[in-house]
Amino acid sequence: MSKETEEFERFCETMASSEPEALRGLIDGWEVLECRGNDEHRVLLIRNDQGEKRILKQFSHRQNARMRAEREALNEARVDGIPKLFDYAEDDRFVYLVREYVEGVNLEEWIGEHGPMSVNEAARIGEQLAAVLAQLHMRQIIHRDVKPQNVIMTPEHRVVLIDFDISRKYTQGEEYDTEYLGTRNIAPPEQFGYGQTDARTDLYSLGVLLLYLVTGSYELREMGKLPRPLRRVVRRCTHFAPERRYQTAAQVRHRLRAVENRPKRLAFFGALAALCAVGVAAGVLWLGAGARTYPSLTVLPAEAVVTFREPTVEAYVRAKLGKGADEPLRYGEISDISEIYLYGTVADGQSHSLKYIGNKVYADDQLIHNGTVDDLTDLLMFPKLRVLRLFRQPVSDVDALAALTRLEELSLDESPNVTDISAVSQLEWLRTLDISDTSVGDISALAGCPRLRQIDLERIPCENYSVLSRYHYLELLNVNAASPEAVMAAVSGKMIDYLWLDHSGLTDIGPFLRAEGVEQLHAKNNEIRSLEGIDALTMLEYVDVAYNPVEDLSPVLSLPRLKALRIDRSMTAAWDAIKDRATFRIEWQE
Amino acid sequence: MKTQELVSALLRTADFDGLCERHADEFMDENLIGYLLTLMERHGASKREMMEQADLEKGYAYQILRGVRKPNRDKLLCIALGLGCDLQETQTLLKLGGRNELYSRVRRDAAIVFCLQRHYSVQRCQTFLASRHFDTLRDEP
Repeated sequence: MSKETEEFERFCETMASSEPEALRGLIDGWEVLECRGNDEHRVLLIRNDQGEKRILKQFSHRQNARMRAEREALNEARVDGIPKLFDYAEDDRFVYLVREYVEGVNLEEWIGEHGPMSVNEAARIGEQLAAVLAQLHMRQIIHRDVKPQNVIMTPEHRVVLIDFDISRKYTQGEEYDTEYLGTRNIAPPEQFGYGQTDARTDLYSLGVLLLYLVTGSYELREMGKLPRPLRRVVRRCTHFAPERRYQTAAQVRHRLRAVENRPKRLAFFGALAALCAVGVAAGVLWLGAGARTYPSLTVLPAEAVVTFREPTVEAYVRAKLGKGADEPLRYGEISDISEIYLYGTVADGQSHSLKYIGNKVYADDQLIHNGTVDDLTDLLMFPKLRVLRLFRQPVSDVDALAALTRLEELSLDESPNVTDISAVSQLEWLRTLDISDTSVGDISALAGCPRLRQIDLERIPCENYSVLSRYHYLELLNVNAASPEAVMAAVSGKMIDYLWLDHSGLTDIGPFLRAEGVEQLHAKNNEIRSLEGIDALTMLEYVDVAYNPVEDLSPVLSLPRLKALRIDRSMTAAWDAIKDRATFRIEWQE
Repeated sequence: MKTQELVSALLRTADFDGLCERHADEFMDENLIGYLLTLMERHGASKREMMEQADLEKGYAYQILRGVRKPNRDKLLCIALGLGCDLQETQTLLKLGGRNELYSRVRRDAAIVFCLQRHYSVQRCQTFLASRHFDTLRDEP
């Protein structure tokens, strides 16, 4: 054992022996796997040698009322759907409680991982929760913090309500609660001083929880997105006045059971329709009343032989998988493909660097001819696609992209018929988007892509860049050939590492001074006369101001990190005037 | 001056220390950004040094300082290690960042406390964690 390891083991022993005795009595023989919280309120996940897990809660005496509430709730209720209480202890500093650990994930995590639930599934969950609440309310226990984080979904899809530490016993005749507890958005008005909480408090939160399960939102104004039967239940649960809500959890349970049974009947016809659609490449994904419909993924049995509409896509897949022209392609093989690169007619299963020589473009050493892909239906067979490049293709309808929800990189560059990229709004994992030299005039769909870090919008007929205000940091932004006003709107207040503003009609550097942290600035072919003030961009390492009427280059001498400056021959005199003081490299644009 | 304005001024200024001096009273301890700035000042680290010593990607660090990103627990621990914080400072940083404090009954946490007490660098702490087969301080945001 190394000296460092010995020291560490001694350190651990010392730390353990300094724990309060009551706590040691509860966790001796148990390993602490996780700890949440702080000195005031700590929750430990512990495990014994047999692999059994439990939750140990430690509250300071200041929080004693909360611990007592939880202890009473768990002790008295002993109902299905809440954890069992195992142990309880206290000393002069803390009170401790040990309860059953419920295996599973909370509903917020579940939604984060799987996306919103079907109405049927949400109604089933809601019905189970209403049953738990009905049992608690019979014992006069109000949970007061029913929310997705406090509901665990077990691997068997059973739900368990946890965290009773702000629960209370309902006392008739009390007008107001003395403490305002609970979670904003999901807690009803009376929990913030509008009266005393009672069973209807939990029903309000249950209504908001149902809304969240189906829409992913806690905002009551989103209720319109729910189908009518569930909307009615949620609306009544969440009425401002408790007397206008359902009065008992049993009533809610009854209504949800009716909602749950209803889609089952519809599902039969849905399944029938799906059967009819086998072999048809595109289904339709329903996104709610009035919402746009997009094609959905084509899911086939693994052994199913697939055919393609587009020869270029098929050529790429065959090259990628090393399959001869006559060999059958099966769904199980192709559906694992995560990257597709189609450079015009070049589709050899590889990614390439593009080289522009004269008016020709090469994918490494292969000359690229304009492609022929105008139907993206084939892409619906690639559920794991992360990278898609469609360079110089005649495609105009790109709605199929909406189904490729795992896409992280998407390039439609130099595909001039693309005008509408609404489908991109469905791609929440997108990090890189290149729509340069397309005919896209509306980029509002980017609002659906919170993870974008690289955005290439060169030479598109777009006037409104306001959607870019949602990004605070971009690794790359290319708005070449936009207007000065557009540049200003696009870069203001952002951290941008690499910024392209060529051919943007800039007459001064004001617009790009609104960006922060820029490392590379490309501002060729503008009308910039003066670089005065450029030293505000202290992170600049590379500046390209070729083909601007700049007469004085001395302001760049104040840039402490500058490594290279790119200029054209018309600036020779300006360069000669500073070159003795320059510590950076010069590049000449020819 | 509001915190946001102060942070904006901080990001604009080349004279970090001067700005800290001029606005010393305006750093609020109950605010993560304010506390972070206080720690940077206390441990004599500039923005750039903080980023480098904590092994933080620039964009990520700026987002924290602008208050538009909530750093995860491991990132806060990297900052604490990078700045050479003691345990008390680290716990406060975690608490203000809304993250779980270190608890030495959890073996990985104990290892991190051990590293903090010995003023290990982020890199050395990572090596120590790996040598003990604990998860290292993760890169993902």
